[in-house]
Amino acid sequence: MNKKKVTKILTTCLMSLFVIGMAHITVHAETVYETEPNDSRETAELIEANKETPSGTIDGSRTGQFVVKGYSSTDDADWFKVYLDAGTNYFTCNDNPFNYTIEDESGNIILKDRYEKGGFGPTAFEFYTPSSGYYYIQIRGIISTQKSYIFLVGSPNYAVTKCEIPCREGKINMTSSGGTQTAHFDADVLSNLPEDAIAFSVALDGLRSSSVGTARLTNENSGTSFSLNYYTWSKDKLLSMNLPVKSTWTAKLGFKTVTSFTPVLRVNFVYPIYNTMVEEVY
Amino acid sequence: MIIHVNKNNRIMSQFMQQQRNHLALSILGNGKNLKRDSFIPDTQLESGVYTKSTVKRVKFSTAVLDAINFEYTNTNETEDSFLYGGIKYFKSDIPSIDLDRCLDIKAENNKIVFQTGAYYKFTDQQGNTHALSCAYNGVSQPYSELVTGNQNDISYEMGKFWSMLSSDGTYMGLYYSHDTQRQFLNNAGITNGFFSVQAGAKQKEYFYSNGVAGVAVPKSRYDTTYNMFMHDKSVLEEFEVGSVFLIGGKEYTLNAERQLDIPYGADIYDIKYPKKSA
Repeated sequence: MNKKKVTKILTTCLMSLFVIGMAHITVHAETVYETEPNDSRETAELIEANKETPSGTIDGSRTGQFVVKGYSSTDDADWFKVYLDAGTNYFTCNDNPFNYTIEDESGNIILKDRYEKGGFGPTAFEFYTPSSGYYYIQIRGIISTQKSYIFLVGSPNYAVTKCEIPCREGKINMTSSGGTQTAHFDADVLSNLPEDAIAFSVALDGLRSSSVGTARLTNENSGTSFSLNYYTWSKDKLLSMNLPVKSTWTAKLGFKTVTSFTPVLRVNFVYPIYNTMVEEVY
Repeated sequence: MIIHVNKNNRIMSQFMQQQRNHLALSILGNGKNLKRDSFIPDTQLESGVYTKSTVKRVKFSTAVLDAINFEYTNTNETEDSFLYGGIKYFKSDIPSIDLDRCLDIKAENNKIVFQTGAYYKFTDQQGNTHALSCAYNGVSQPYSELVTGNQNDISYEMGKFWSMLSSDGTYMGLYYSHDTQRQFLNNAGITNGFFSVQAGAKQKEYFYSNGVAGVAVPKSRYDTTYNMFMHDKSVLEEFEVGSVFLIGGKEYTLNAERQLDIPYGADIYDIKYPKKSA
């Protein structure tokens, strides 16, 4: 067998191994429970950083989500080791209160802080890592009794929900003279809408498939316009357009038949979780 | 007599009449001695009279502009106009916001307050001045600019910055670098320590930090962290009594009770820890 053939075979084998190896890297949502002994830096349990994305949250896969659960007390500290990218990261906590410490690989303390439950959902804490590398996290309960804890470290924790924006004009009348009618939907009137909520799908409710001939929606804050799908008067896969929900949305409705309706704009959106989970927004 | 039923018939009838006149002339002869009556009577039964457009272009007053920017959820808006007080105002006539009516974004006693119904201005790095408005508990590019297709990314980002801070600044680091945050806050006159941002009815307090927990640390987080250092003796148990900590650039010594006498308002996220006990 000549050299060239051997090289080719070896390369093919290596590539196959690489593909197989890649297949074992976690890409789906995962929850791990702490494994004792992990009471010291030396026995720190290796975990993965949370790498959630808005798109993974929208499709329900929660791709990249990595949740850690465990029990701790004042006498039982738990240590974890995680690779983090340089820059802004988030330590998202839930369940019972605990103290946490973040150290770099050399043992320098980056941050000492405490999580206390502030609202209904998780609480996120920003922290800054000066360089990419391994970091050590110590969790310690604040009372002598073992209490459960939950945390994620890395990217934010995202959630999806929806809002229904009433029509400023109330009822829209498609008249016999034809032409277009304009309907406005002001998200500013909604009280607990996160400032950084991003739309991923919209739908005009309250009209039949035959109520209008065309429907074109504009997000006034971004100036982006798009046509809604005929019949359903909806559109999805909007995430890449980066449309802020907090905006006035303008619908231009093309005439089809003489009719009246009271439209409502339903916007499904994704947002990084604040310490109060946002239920449906009205 | 031809009865006119539509425009085409009217034109045709005029042409036919002209042809008839020409024919009459030719029949009568074109001798120089003949008087030519070149008058061609109009055979139209009716004719329109041209007048100036009845649509009056009304100039925008500040009252109308303000209604558009601060009460747009109550306006009668169409594709190309606003109806206000029974008068139609065209979007194409909407003027720019007069920058003389805009307040500077400036803190007083480390408090930034955006009042509902007010305009604000800021200058970007290129030296361009932009207007913002405070409406519906948020700060944004004025609605009058948005509906005329004048969306501006710089204005959007500045409005979002202050709106987020007035609501919940947990994720400021997700959208703005630390340098940008410091620049915006410094330009507004925010100095180190506690500060607050209010837009309409929404208000939040923060601690301006030079440490590792972000630039605008929610005051609730600061208070929890401070109480931890003040009351939980286990937090610093790995350090020798007498160890020196550098907090916000100042030195603090660990006392016999393994606590630091940190004043409230010190930058507890800017800490250089000493070596741990062996």
